[in-house]
Amino acid sequence: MEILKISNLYKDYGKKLTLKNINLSFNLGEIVGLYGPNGSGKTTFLKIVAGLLKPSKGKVLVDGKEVGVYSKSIISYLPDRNIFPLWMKIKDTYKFYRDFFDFDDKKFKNLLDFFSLKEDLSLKALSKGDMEKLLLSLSLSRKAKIYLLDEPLSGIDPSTRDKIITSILKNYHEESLMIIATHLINEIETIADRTIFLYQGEIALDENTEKIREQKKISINELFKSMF
Amino acid sequence: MRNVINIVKYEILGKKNAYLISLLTLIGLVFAIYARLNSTVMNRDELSLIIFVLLFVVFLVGIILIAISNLMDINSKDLNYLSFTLPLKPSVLFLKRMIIYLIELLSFLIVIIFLTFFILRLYNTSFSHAVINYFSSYGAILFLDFLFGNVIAFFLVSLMIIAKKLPYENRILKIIIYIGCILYLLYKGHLNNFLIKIFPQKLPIFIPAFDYKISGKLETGFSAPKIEYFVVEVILRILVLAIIIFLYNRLLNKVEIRG
Repeated sequence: MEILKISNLYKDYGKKLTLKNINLSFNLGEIVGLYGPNGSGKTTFLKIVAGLLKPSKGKVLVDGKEVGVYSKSIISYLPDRNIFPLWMKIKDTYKFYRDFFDFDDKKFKNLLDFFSLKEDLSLKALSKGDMEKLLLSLSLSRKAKIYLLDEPLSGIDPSTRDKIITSILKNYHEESLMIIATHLINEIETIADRTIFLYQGEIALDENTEKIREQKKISINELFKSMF
Repeated sequence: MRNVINIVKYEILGKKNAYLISLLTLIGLVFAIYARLNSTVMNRDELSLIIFVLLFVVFLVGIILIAISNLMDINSKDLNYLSFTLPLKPSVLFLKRMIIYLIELLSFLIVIIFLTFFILRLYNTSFSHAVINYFSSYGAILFLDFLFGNVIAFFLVSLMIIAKKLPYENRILKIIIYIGCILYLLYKGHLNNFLIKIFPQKLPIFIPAFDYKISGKLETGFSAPKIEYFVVEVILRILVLAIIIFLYNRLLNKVEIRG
């Protein structure tokens, strides 16, 4: 079932054109790896779908509706930075999400245990890795139809990356779409069903991950390196 | 409504320490002024007048600080990732800011009025009696007048802060908002006078002038002009507020959070 449709999408910030003629369609049940070098437009793309940026041209339909209050209620967006005020403790962030979203308390508490995070910890005291774990736990605990994860592994050490990938896989449910934007392809390509390469704001590749591997006989990471 | 209450709740929780510190600082400052001046050898009537003027300065500084802090919060708390990923209508963000601003303004006004009356009563001079009588009779109208004007000025500046975040495609709208707000803030008085000349009908309420002189070595005193209310002026204010509310909501629908 189609949950996200992007037609003829352009985004420019004045002189700089960040996205050019993007046409994509996503179904429920997909895990999509969105890869591209820095500045290729990955974050801009996710932010437009999440409703943080406006398209310069084109249309974004989420579950058949334009981006707005409804789309925000079914999209769980993990940004590439902390979005919570630092006066909060972990328990405040979860109460906050519970007040505004359809939230799975049990899943959140399990994720906190999995990441060995204590509810009473203040956000000020969290390391970058712990903050990433918390934000991911909050995002995955939302009962959303679309999960947009922007660089969930950046600045994270390799052992923690494995833990994060395990948690993503364990908590992904089939009735949802998950788009993971990253430049750490090696880590994500094993879990992504579909691969999209963005280069200078344009779609350079959009293909089933398994099909690419079978046809090209190389990993997605190697393909990416050979292309850009 | 539940969303408005929730979002207001989290902002107040985040600012609770700042509120406590501000309250203690204000009380400390007012009593420091009182204690410092009380120990000087001066005519008590003149002393109560000086204290009143100083408290008036504290009041002005306080409302400016409240406005600045809320304008900064619009930029950092309302127009940020967290607020814009929540499934909220723009009107919720507008109501949140309106409620927080009014709560802070009213709390500050209540505290400063209470402290001023308390200190003036301690002095028990003819000046303090005159001030207390004046504000007891006309305080409510002055208060509403001040609140209305203050809210309009605050949200006009807010519009410019929000317009700053409009995308490139809306650059003409951004310029129109800037020019419109600045022109209104600069020429509001001229516009009022112009309209009053055409429509001179007055409302049946007014605030008489306050004039108090103390004769001593140097003649000192405190005065406030007579305030009259014109129908056209009140209508213009209501109209401007309605336009601001409309634009605030429209702009929030168009802004981008670039980060």
